[in-house]
Amino acid sequence: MTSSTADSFAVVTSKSLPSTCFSSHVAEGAGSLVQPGWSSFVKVLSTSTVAGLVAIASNVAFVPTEAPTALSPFASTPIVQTPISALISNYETGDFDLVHGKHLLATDNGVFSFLAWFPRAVRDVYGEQAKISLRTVDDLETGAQIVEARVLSGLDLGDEFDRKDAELFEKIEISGLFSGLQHVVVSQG
Amino acid sequence: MLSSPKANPSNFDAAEFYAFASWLNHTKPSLSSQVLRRTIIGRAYYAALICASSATGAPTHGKDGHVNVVRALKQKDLNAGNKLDSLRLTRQSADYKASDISSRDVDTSLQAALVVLKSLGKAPSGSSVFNSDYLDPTRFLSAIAHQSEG
Repeated sequence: MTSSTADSFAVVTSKSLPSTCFSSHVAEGAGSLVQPGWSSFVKVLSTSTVAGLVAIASNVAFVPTEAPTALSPFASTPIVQTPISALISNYETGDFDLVHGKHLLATDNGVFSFLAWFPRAVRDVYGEQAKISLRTVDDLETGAQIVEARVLSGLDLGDEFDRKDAELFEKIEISGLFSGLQHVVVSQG
Repeated sequence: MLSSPKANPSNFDAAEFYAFASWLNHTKPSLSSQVLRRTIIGRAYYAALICASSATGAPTHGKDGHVNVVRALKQKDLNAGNKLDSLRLTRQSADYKASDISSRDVDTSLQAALVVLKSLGKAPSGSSVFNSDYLDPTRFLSAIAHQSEG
């Protein structure tokens, strides 16, 4: 259920059951959810503190409710982050084809391991300010899509640039994760 | 004043493409020209590719020829092989795609080519990466001016 759907719910007490079913009363410990559009009527859930959940289809009417005093049932829903999503969050991904890229990450352990490790190596060499852009590039020679990890260090070209670039590759070689470079190209931006 | 290079087909060294690309970048007859930038990247790439092909024995032609050279070079030197691969992709963009090529792209491409050439012992020696005046822009421009006047 989407959050926009949740916005169209109102919780009311049985005492305030109106024939129009519009109410701004908020019941504590309200019960089940009613699907929007399913009914504009209030369902009675218990005999004592009867609470109901009115679903108002957004295309019929929208009833703004007062700020809830109880936590929304959605508030405690944890945001699930997959390992792949966690990995990608370390990169700038403006030009990254998520469908292809995620498939590659899910099917190629070498690529996953390398890209999971790489941001830490870049930070070690270039500092926290360095960014890495991850993008998918069409290889016009092979027709395949290649993942390019471009280091955006902001360094001017010169001795320091060369030294840090060499240092980064030393780390890659020492890491033993270079099998990931079969499908990933590291570049300097 | 630098001298013009002598044409000697039997003594062609692909590494000179890099010298030419560097000279072109240094001369900067038109810094903002996309044509110039793309040409520099192309020459830098072929300098690195052909030298790598010679050093590894991997031919540049045939199916996935350039990629095969990259793979062969990675086995000798991971950094150099990766640089050639990066340069390969940049060269593809430079030659076939309309997206903007920045001066930074040119500089990093020359740097990548130099890493490859150094790895292969083909980097230019001496204080300058080029020792020839490949095209004297003054003469070139004056020749055009004379033609216009005529």
